[in-house]
Amino acid sequence: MRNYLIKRILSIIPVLLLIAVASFSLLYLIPGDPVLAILGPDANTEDIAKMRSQLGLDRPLLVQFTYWFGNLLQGELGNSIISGRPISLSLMEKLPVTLALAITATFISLIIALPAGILAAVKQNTWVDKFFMLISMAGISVPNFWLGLLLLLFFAVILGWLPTGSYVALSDSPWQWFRHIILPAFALGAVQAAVVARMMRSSMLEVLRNDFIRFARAKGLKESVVINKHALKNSLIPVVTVVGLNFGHLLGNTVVIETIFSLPGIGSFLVFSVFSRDYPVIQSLLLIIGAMYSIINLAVDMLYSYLDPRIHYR
Amino acid sequence: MNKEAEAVYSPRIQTGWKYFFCKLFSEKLVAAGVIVLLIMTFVAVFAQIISPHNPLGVDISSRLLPPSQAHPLGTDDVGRDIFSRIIFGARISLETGLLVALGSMGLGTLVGLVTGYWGGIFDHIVMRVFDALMAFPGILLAIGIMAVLGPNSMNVVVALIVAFIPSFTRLVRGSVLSVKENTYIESARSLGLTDAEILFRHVLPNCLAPILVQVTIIFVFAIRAEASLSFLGLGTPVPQPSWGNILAEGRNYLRDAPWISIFSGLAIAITILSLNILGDALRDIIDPRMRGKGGD
Repeated sequence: MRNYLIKRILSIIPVLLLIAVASFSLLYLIPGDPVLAILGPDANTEDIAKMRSQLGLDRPLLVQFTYWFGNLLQGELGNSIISGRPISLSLMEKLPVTLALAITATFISLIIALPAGILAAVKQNTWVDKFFMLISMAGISVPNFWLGLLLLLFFAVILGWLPTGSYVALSDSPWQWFRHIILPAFALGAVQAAVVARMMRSSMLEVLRNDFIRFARAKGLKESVVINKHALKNSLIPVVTVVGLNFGHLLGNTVVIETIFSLPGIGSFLVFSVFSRDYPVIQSLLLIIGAMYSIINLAVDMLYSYLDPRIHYR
Repeated sequence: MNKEAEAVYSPRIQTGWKYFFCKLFSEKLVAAGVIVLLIMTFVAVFAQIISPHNPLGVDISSRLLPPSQAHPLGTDDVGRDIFSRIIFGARISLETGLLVALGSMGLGTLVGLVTGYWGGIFDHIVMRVFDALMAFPGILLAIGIMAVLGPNSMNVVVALIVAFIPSFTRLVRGSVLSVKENTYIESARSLGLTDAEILFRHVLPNCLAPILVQVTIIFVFAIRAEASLSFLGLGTPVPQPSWGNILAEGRNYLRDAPWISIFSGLAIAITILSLNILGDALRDIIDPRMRGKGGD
């Protein structure tokens, strides 16, 4: 088990290296001259030379990569072309917003999905099961940005109960933070809830067919004890995997939701950077999100082996 | 090789199209999903004839009109008919979904067959490159590529194909690795068939089931991703109508003209719902063990 974990942790190093190479390559995939793509065709020679030097494009490719990668290892991501600010500083400000959004969305999805999935499994093939599965199918099909707009329309524009956008830090005012985060988190979490509910249902159904459940019932245990104490724990393992993997996808989906609700996270920062052709920022954000996504997958893998000790690894 | 010999070692599933369609349409929900998709396709193909107005026709005197007989789904901020724009938007969405699904299927299947069948250094390099691509959430990878290529309908297709090829390749490669170990492949080889004949006549047909299911999943992802990119302004450029950019335009008029966002979003949701129902049904028919499993 320990050997497996060490091997698994080491296996992420080449992936992280490849993510770094892929992010670095972005600037070189731009058709034509990347400096002209940033400054526009009317830029003068002096500005072009200055930008080329700022981006390090006047050096050989290998030197550029070594310099960039060396800085990266020291936590230096360079400066934004637009604001001139260090990218790492912007990330420190924006990452907590995105993480708060993704964690709250995951929490909401679990609150909805677990009871729905369990109930659908326990009442298999009844109208309750069909109702929940139809709702979850609809949930999977609804684009989260549309759901976000509908929530905004109803709760912020028509009822006026919640703000239409912006963000308040949790440390500044927990209540205001909640009021600002609940709609975007629900828009993001509801779609995930649909996926998790379906997985919870099928996992619970599989566990309920096991002999130990039949035995627990034969022992005369109450159905609620059988479900909550015996079936639930065992059926949660694949659900943990789905939730963990979905967390990575949530990070991707925050881009649209942050834009709709004007949240100052890394998603809206990425969109802004794409429009302003701030390539160093785009490179850094892709690198950070890619690395986070890989590390989350690794953590899920390790959690999986912790939750189910029966699993043997080679 | 004669047909009898082929029948001995080629394990074709004895189902047939008749069985397939009977099974597919035995559920009312699936039939409804297929009908909706057929209607959407019809609308997309004959948009020019069906559309009551020019989707690009600006008429400031009819701006932000609510749904009426003249404009069944209302008008937008410059007086364009939302119904006509959604009809033409269907063309962009379905076209993107189809091109991305077919493109990633074609390229992913080819690379998956080659890497899975021959393995070696090429397999190793391709898989490591795809590992790196799969380390990014699909939509982010597409945004990164669009940042490089610039907003344009065709670039969306290219970006999404690049984003979805790795998952397709992995799926096909996995199937090939399992199929090529079967004794009927060994028999085919011993009968003197070339690698290409074995790959396309015996390995590929036995990998078709997961490929078919994956196509419906990619179709859904592509429609959703195109809408997301267009919503962000990185996909189909305005004034060309796409469901995503109609939705984005309506965002600024949520209070005064909510119908712009509501109807365009509804079009996306109904199409994706129908595709999901069809995909689920295909999965059930192809692999009955998967019946009722979650996730998409």
